[in-house]
Amino acid sequence: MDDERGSQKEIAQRYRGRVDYSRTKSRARRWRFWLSCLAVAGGIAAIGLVREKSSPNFFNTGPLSRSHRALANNCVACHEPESLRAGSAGGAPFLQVLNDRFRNGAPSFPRIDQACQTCHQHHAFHEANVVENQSCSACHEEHQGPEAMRAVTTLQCATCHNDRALMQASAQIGKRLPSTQFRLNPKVAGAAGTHHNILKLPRPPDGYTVTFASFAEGHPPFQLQRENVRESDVLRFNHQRHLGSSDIPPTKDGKKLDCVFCHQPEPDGRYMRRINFESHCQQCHSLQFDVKNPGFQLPHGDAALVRTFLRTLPAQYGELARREKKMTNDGQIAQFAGQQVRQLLGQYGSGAELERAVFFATNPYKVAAQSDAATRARYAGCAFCHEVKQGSAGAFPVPEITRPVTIDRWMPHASFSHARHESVLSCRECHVAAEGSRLTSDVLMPVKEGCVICHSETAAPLKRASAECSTCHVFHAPDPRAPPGTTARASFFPKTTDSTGGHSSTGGSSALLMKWK
Amino acid sequence: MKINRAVQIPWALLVLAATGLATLLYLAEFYPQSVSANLRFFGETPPGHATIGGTPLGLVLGTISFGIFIFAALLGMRKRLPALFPGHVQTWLRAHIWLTLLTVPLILLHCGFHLGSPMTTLLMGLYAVVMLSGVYGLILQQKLPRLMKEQLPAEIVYEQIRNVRMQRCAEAKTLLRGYEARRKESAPVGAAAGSAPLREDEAEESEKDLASEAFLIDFLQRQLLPYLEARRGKRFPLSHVRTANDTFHYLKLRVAASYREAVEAMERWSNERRLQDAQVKMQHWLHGWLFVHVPFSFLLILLTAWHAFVTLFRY
Repeated sequence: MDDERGSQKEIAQRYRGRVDYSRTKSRARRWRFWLSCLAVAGGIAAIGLVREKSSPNFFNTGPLSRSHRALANNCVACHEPESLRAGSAGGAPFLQVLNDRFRNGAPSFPRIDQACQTCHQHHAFHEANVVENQSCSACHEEHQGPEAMRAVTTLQCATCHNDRALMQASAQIGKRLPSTQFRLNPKVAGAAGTHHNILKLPRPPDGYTVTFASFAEGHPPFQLQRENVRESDVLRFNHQRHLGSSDIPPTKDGKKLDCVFCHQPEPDGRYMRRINFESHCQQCHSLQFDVKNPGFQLPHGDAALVRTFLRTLPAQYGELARREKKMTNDGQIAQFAGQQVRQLLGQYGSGAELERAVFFATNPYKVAAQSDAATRARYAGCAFCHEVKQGSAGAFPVPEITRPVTIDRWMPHASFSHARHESVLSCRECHVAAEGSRLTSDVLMPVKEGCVICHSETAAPLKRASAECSTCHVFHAPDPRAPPGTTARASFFPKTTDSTGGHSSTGGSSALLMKWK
Repeated sequence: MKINRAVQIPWALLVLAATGLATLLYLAEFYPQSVSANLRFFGETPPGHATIGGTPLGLVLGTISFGIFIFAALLGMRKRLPALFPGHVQTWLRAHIWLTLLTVPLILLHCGFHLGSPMTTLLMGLYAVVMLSGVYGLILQQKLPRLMKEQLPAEIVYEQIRNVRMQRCAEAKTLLRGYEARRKESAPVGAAAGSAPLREDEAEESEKDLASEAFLIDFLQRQLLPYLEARRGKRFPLSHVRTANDTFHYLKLRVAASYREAVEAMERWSNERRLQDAQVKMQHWLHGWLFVHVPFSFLLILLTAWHAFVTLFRY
């Protein structure tokens, strides 16, 4: 005890008259108590006030995304009107809420999910073998700002696709389902009405249920690569020769032959147009089979027509005389036609030999080696590029030319845009095998390892590109109930317009089930 | 409660360990690439980071934090109803402090470092007020007791301050009444019939005494008593040490030697009053933060319960 405080007696003397002070409540405590009561009462009053008067924006975590901006003042379009009165009684049962949150990992919003589907129609939730569907809101989060809705992340996909038990269960479900349950997504496979040739490889026995964490880590090689797919097309083409050989002359406008001479993008820039003879081959591979008449060319695309053309040569030369020589006198025309036919027969020996040369010759360059650049590659013979067989049907069989089928979509499970890549990459950087390819059967699609160079979290900063699953894949499958070609009022997938201007949807593409083994 | 004691170390370690564990779980759940081991215990689908509070892990963190709020609010009950709650008050107070400090990382992780809607922003504001006032109070409780011990050597029980002040007032009034009575008695001294005339020196001394008493009466009435009686003494000149010293020094010179003891007593009362004022001021600092901390804590609990109800069951 400090001396200045005095002895016990002095202290007792000092406190005389109020020795029971400890039993009385201090004013400060009383004030604190009433202030606390006031705070709680004020809080309850505020809750009641907010419930009755305030707008739901009080609980709004942020503006709607750009896509849903039109619903900004129409909360009941998604939310239950009752739920918008904050603090109102009722709501989802307690246990159901706990189950949703802790077992499924996300709340179920049946009302909101239904609201989503009033606009976003005609799509299935996910592939038919999905183990358990979840609420739309589990992936598509609203009220996060006025920008575009945030893309679904790889992490969200990996919660299932990196879960071995779930994937095994999914594989088991998939085995019990008919293959018709699995349809290509029009967004990646191409819309209906565009008649794309789609490479549809057989679905693996377990489906696509390999577990992995991300594209860079564990994503399996592309199915083309994994199954060592070879192209079975019968049209012969040697990429190495066209791209690298020194004896390939420049094009008519003096340019060196390169990838883009043949491979030109579709209007939307995503995929390449289909290559056709008239646009891409004929400039060099002329159909001029008569050296003396550059304008006299065989028809292309129909073997019967070609043979008819050859068997009516006098008439064809007569037409040439009228069209190009501007002859009008029938005598002169007949004389010109007879002269040309005789010359041809002198060169080939007979009409049958001429037909044989046209259909089956495979080495025409010896004939025209000394010609100028424009006519150097005179008609090579159908068999130079095509598979030609002796005809067997009818009394006068027409040689059979196997119709080539060029693939427009090699990887229909993933979307791609050449336009997004061409500004930063050359063709050869992705299609690395093209320059060395000599066989038509070579599939020159990029391999996964090539894509990972940029599409990876660990890529060099200047090269790094999005590595999210949704960069290439689409989560939602087309609605299995919808008939092919159905167009929704507000389809989940963006409407596309084909060349005829019509809207298109799933199911119109000519999918090919090509068996390679 | 002093925190720089060995007994606090386990609590600090507990808070650090819980913070580390919560952070690890958070990273494993939402940034799995940053954690080598698979530590994802909750649910299957983590939505985007903006609504972490709604994920299983976010809910667990939020629920723990809310539980800590409730526990912290029970401290007052523990003090008033010790029979109902086991454990020493000291332990409760330590748990109150350390566990509420733990809510800082838990709530930051729960909300994913976002403020969210106006409702959750309001909650965060309330939480900030409660935590800041609590931390402020904790700091004051570390500093002020030592300061009080140094500056208030004659510290008395806070609740007795008014009682002691009234005692001093009574003593001053007694002194005043004594002087006034004596003055009344000596006023007709020279004119009293039959009384013997004073000697010259006695008369002179008597005059001096009367003058001193008159001076002291004036001082008591105009300065000391109002100062001692006032609820707050700050506006009085005697509340300033230097003024008080000068005043009492002058008083001692002005009064007769026989009154100096009385002047010294007055000086003691004045000094005592000044120290009482200082003690009251410090006491207000020491406990004033509770006027913010306690009501806002209850409001926070109420609104947090509402937040949980609305977000879990309504949206």
